[in-house]
Amino acid sequence: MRPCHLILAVMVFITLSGPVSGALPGDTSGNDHLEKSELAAMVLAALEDGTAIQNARDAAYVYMFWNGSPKRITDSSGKERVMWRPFHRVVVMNSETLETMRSIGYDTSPVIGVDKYTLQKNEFFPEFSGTAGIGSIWAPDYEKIVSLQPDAVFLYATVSKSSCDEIEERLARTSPDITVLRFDGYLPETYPAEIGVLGELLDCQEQGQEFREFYTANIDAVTSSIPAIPEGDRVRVYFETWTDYKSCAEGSGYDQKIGMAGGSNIFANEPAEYPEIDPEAVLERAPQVIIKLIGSGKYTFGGYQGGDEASFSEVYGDITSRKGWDALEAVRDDRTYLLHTDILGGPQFFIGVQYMATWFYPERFADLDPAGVHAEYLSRYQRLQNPLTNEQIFVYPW
Amino acid sequence: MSLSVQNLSFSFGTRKILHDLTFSAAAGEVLGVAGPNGCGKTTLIKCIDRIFEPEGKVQFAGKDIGALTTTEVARMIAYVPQALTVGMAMTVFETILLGRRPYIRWSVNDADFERVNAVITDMGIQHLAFRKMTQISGGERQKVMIARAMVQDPELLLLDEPTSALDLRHQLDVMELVRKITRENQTCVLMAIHDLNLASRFCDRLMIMKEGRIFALGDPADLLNQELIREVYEVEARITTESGYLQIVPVRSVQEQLV
Amino acid sequence: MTPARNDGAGGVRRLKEEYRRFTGQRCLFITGCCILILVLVGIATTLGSADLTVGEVYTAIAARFFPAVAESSPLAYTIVWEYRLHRILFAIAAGFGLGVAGAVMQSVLRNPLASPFTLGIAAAASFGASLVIVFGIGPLTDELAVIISAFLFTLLAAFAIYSLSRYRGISPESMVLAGIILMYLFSAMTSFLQYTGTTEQLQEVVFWMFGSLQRTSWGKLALVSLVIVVCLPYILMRSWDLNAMGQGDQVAKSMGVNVSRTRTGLMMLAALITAVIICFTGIIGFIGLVSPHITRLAIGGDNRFLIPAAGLIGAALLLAADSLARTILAPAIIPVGIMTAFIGIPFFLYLFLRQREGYW
Repeated sequence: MRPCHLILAVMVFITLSGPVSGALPGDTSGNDHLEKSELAAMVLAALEDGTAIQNARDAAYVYMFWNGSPKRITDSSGKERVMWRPFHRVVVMNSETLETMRSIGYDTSPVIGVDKYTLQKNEFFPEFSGTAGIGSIWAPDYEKIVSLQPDAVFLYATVSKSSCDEIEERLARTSPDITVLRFDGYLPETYPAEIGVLGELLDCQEQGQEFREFYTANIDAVTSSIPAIPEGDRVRVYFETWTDYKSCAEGSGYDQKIGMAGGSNIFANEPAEYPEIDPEAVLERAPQVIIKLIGSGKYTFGGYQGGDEASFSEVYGDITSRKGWDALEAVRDDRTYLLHTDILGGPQFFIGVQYMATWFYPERFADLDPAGVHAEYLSRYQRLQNPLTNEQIFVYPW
Repeated sequence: MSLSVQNLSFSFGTRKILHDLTFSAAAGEVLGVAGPNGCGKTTLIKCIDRIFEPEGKVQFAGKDIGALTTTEVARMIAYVPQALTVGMAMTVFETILLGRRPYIRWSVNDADFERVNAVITDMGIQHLAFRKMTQISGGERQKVMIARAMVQDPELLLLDEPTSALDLRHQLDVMELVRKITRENQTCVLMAIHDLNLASRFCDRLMIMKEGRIFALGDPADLLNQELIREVYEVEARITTESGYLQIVPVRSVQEQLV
Repeated sequence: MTPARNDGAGGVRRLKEEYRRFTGQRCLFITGCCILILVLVGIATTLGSADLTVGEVYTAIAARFFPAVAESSPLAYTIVWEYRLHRILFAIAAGFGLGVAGAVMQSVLRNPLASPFTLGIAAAASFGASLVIVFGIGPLTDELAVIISAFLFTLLAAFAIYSLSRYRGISPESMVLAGIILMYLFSAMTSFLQYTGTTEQLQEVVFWMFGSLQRTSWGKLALVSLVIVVCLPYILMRSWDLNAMGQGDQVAKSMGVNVSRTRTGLMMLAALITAVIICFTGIIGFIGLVSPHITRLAIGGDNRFLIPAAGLIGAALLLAADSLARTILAPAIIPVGIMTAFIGIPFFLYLFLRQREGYW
């Protein structure tokens, strides 16, 4: 259809539909000015043909938001990705990216496939509980992914690299139309930059920037003060994962975050990333603070999925009554804490880091409010309807 | 077709088992090999069939066995082991058919069927033909082993203690069978046997071995006397004749007397 | 005791007839297996988490060969040709190879418990894969490096078994013992690697060891099929000798079989076939152990029939296991190595309870 025919059709339509009192046709914004976008939207809506509408809509989108050119961004794998049209069907295989999409204000209705771990977190991701599951990065259900006919598939960049490389390679070979994008979504070194790139990618630059500033501010609130504390004065910390007597050492994410909060991990120099430690070594190294991670394995309770206080107090009691541990400073001075993996393991780690900072240096970080930051994160950025209930406990004692 | 062994020696590592054996056996003759445990009977049999590689010369029908290929040897010499402990998943017919291996490439042809039929008819075991090996008795199994050896069309038959695991009836059966085969086919038979009574009854000649050497060789009736038995077996024995057959009864071991 | 003599010619004819009938039953069994496999393929191609109807699947298959007649949607075509078919065909090839390897090993070693996995060959492959996963190898992509390493270590193990047993005489006992030594050695080393690796690497190693047909491709299928097709003729030609060896080494030697050479050659080929399969799939156990037993129960121990039939049974088993693994807990995919264990264990229980004439 040539442009002149289009305009003719529109004019006929306008004439035939009769006068509408006092508003420009198609003036959806009501500012008495018909923008090109409003015109375009209206014209397209009048057409009957399904695919042509979609194409035209995409064309209009590209024209309006991308200045008529394809979008090129470099994702966290270092590769350049090209978008020719906005995404309408998206598969997200790592929940960290999904969470970040929410944070930057992306309308997640195009997400039509998520991994099984996202489905398990139905309290945190209620809007996806009916979404199709596509297995996981380590056991991908290729048939499901391909049959969903997505435009884009999101994977990790450096985490589980070989599994993700394999998925990318497989999809490139069999379905080259799918755009693969790789973002880790939670590593402290790369997260701020990723927020920016995602915002650029999904046309959420503004709120993306706002979220980035929120995040950076909250991290800096802790990390900027840490260099001032001399090495010798750093608080000695014993960190236990959800497996009893398994700690973390240098190279692991947990150790990194302890360092960010200014703690000195007493097992940092062990050879394995998650070493099994000798209980006597704990007594020997006399930690001043003890942190027990819960939320998985034997201690699957708490966090977003809920759990009652009794479970927490029980674990707390068990730890503090371990043989000989009452001699530890951490137990004597009540500096033993339970921390839930929901606010330490993923993009919300900055909340966990803030909690740890307040535990390590209570005076220095007296004006930090991790609980408040948490609430703000959930309501403003994650747009979760229900505020935190009493059943959702993340730290103990609080 | 006769067997001729000259200066045969064999060692397991550094341990010498057979010392310089020289003897011969003629076609149509059953030569028994007897002696105390460990004297080397079984080893001798295996050396002749190239299962082991000995020093010395072994000739059959004028040909040096050491120079022949294994297939040629297999067409000439057949070996029957002491007892069957493996290979139970086959039927009797298949087991016997295995003996045709030196002649078969891949599939079974008419000549093979003829030969197997002839042998099993001769030995009277047609009724067992398609039974599984696990379903027949020990005596019948031994017959099947002999049948398997016979379908190899051997000119020399080597038997390793064929009657050790058999009851009285089957011992008799098998030994008569061996003698019959020998006479009818003019096969040369070398048989390791420890039962002296059976040996004297069924062997044309007997070779007594002691500690890897030939102690005596000759007609059993001439050979087997009290002195020999005392020297070789260290046993005091009484030798009588019952129904025309030599009967050797061990009375007491020689060591006892010295105590 | 001697029954009436058979008329010579009549006796031979009766014998032949009986033998032909016997052989005919076995050929029937093999044909039956082939039909079973075809049926399983027919069913397996329609299974999967993409919602394709049976009609769509077969149209997609036909579309490749008769594009004028059959028109398939691009989605169905992609799923059937890029994800399902080569996986199914690979299951058949791999199952066949493992079944043949298992039958050969059991006959060569005269041991009903012999299989590619009781002899440390699989443990060596696991070690090879773990080595690469934990330490990495320079310029090669991860997947390729794992494959090559697993393959090389499998062959290394086979060679070690050969060398060790040569030292003590190439008898079944020495080979089995050597195999067991290797199995423990490589298992221990693999466990050590698992201990020192990161959680992620550990997870990868464990997943690899579970055995999976997720990562098949047309190229890999071609390679495995090629190796099997090249090795099989030699193995079949030696079946008669294997039968003779079943009577004992000494009897076999007296029948003209070169026992050590045959034993070594066949073990190496069986190891090669196993290596080329498990370097792509990880550890898939039980097929090599169970297929020969099932086949032996049905058609006896003549290796001319046992070996190919065990291969066919192995193919059917693995295909069935994979199809079950894909659908039983959909959309989750159970690793096929776990599924074959679940199928193999009841079978062994059955054998154990039914034992009448011995396991062999």
